[in-house]
Amino acid sequence: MRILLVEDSAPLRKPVVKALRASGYAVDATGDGAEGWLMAQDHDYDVIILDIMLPGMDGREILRRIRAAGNETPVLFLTAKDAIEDRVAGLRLGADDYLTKSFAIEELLARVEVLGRRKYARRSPLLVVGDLELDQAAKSVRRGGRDINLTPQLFALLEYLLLRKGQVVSRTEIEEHIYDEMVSPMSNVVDTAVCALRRAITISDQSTPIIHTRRGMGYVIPESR
Amino acid sequence: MKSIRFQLLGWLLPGFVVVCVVAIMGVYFSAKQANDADLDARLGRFAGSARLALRNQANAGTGGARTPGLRAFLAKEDFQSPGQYFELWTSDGVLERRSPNLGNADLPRPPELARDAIRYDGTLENGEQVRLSAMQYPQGGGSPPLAFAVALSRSEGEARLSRLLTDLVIGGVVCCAVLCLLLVLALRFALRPLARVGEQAVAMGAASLHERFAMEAMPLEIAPIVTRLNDLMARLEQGFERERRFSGYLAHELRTPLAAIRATSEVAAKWPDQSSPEDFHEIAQAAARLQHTVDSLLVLSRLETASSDVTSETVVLGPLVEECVALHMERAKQHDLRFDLRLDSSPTLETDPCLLRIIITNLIANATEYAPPGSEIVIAATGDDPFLRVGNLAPDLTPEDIPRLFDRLWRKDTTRTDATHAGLGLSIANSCAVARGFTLTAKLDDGGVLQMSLHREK
Repeated sequence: MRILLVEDSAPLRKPVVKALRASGYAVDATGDGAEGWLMAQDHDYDVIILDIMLPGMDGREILRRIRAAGNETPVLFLTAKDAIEDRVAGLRLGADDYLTKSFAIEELLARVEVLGRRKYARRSPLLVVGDLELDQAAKSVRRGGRDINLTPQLFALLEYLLLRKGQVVSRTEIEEHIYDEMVSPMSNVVDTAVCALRRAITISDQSTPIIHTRRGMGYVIPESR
Repeated sequence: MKSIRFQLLGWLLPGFVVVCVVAIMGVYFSAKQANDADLDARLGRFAGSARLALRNQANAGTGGARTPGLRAFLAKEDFQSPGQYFELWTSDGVLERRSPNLGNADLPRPPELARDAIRYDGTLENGEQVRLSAMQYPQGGGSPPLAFAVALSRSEGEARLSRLLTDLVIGGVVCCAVLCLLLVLALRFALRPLARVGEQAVAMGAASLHERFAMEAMPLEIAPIVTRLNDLMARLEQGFERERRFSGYLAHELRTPLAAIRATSEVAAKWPDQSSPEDFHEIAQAAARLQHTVDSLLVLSRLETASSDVTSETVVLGPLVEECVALHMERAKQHDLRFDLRLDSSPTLETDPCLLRIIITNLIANATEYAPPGSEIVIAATGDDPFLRVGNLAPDLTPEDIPRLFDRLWRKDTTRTDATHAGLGLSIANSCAVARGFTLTAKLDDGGVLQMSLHREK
């Protein structure tokens, strides 16, 4: 999943980005409100984390514009303003959640995870296909009763494909959601990652292939599995 | 608790009753006097008729032809029924004649008689109250004078007065009731604006400080109070707003570095392989920033609560200003700023040198921080008032910002992104000035120059 973080305090932005990336999210971050609004327009983020007091453009204004543009991406307000009226105003503007500074990084990650599930209309953190289970909360993958260790990026790729189960997911979409702006659009990083993921989730010669290639279109995990 | 309405009712209602009773009594006694006067007038005419009848009787006795005299007088219909009475007696008190309606009873006689009529009140044997007029009637020929008395019954007049009194009492009670009702209604109507103000004041809370008491239809007597209340509300609202802003700024100033410290340390603990010495450096920086903010707030708090602890000694202004400028010279060079020092020859003043140093340092720090690069900072120290002026270009400020310059934690940059300032410098300078009795003022002229002036204590 790809996250946009707009937070003007660099000392705070840095560890939050690090934590999100370590949890397998692709993260774009900026400290400027106007730039954040441009990024929200350019990419289809799974979750947007917004500070309220921002240079360039106020976080509330960014949210107002996002909603006015018909963008339903879940938004989490991350701010020092803890007054009831600030929370109510933020939620009424269309924010999905509100977290007051300072916060436990685990709480932020849990809230981001919940908001990510909400985007795909899911309540359970468990994604299942055939004998493979992915637990979004525990960040664990099991197949045939055996634990599989995945890197954060492969975990995010599998999670995204499972969330889009039954749909063909293009390479561009994978790039959009799994990789941040640092990845070159010309690279074959997606194909390499899918190949690595296939190897990782194949636990024996009898393991049924889960990820299928649709030539010229992308990858799919069939619904029937 | 005293109620204006009940106090007014307590005074006015008995007052109305007393006024009504006095009015009733006045009317009654006036009517009684008129009744007595009328009775006396009738009695006078009646006595005159009796005297005429006696004169006619005397003439008849001396051979004159004018009769019937007394007989004709007493034969009048008026003497057949109660109401008018007549009695004639000799100087020895022997009855001569009396009106038939007296029967065998005598009229009350006065102890002494004269030729002029004597008027008095009396009671007949049957208990009837009468008004009497008695006099001597001289007889010619050396005969002793006769005496006679005429009487008129009071019963008709008394009955009329009694009816009048009844009417007055009923009228008085009705009048009192109507007046009381009118009074209650008038008080309710007149005190309604006051009641409305009271109700609105009771309903007011921290969330409704923007509301004001309506001045329309407000009585003149209450208008000054309500105007003052509205002024107080405006000041209270500004105070609350200032405190709300301060709380918001404080939350940001304290929570953002706290959040950075917490997030950095938690991430370093959870993913130690991804942590670096730079993370700890950032934690230290955020903690230092927090400490600076907290220290500044403590200084402010101490200044505001312990203003009596200041000392006083003679301070030469010029060297102190130069010392403070020297502290900021490096920063001024970084920002390409020039100082224009206009220091009069050794102006001095009696003050606390520590507080004055804090004021000057903060004013210069503010100027070096916000003056645009390449501009000039003018610092003037004189023996006049103001004794210190610091001027610098402030292109970002607007006249609306000036009243907020000394608010704690106020910053022009509402996003508060720059972590190097908390917005407490000018607040501290102002609090120091207040603690020493000085006045620190800020003025933005048309050329965009912010002039901070320090005035002597008055």
